[in-house]
Amino acid sequence: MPQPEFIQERLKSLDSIDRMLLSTLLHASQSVGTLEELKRGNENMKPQFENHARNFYSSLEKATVALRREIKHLDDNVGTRLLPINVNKKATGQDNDKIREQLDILTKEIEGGD
Amino acid sequence: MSDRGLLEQLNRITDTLSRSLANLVKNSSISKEGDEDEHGNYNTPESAARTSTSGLMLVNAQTAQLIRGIQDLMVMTRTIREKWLLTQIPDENDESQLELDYKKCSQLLEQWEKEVLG
Repeated sequence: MPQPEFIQERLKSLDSIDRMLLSTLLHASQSVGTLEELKRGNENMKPQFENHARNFYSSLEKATVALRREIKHLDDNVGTRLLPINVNKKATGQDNDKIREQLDILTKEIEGGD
Repeated sequence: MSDRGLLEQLNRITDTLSRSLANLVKNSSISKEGDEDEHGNYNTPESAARTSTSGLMLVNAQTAQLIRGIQDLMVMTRTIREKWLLTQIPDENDESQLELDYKKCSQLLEQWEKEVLG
């Protein structure tokens, strides 16, 4: 089902947040990897460790700031674009689909009777 | 509001995540101290083993916490996605389509009435 432009924008933004979160985890694992090398006495890894740690914090910051903005968007649109209650409606198009199905059957019945 | 709950959750997870890497580095040095103990004090290898084991356990716990934190944040983005998709108020287009359906429905019913009753 095609979504309105604003919602598509939000979904794209949430996708990019997911990517940022994954890169945060990647930087964390790289930091731990270089830390392991450092513990083995490889002092050359120190700038790399610093770099990875810095990247970890910066991507974490970016992701959380973007996520905070998304929560604000959500808050702003409750009542205008979103329902203000928590409803668990998983199959919303069902009743409309049913109407269309019944109309199709009726059409067939009438046309068949001619 | 549920959004306030989301914000609080975000704050809590960010706090944990930003601390967990620092804790990871801190705890990894415990295991190193343990190694040093092992070299310096051969009489008590058990305590050295205990220190390094507890260091290792802490490192594991911190790593797990880091991963879980990121997971929680991804669950949060999913929750927000679900909110946008499932609780959105339908556009006017849908309503006009429904009106069309009603017209068609009344026509069909009239036709049916003629065919069956009249």
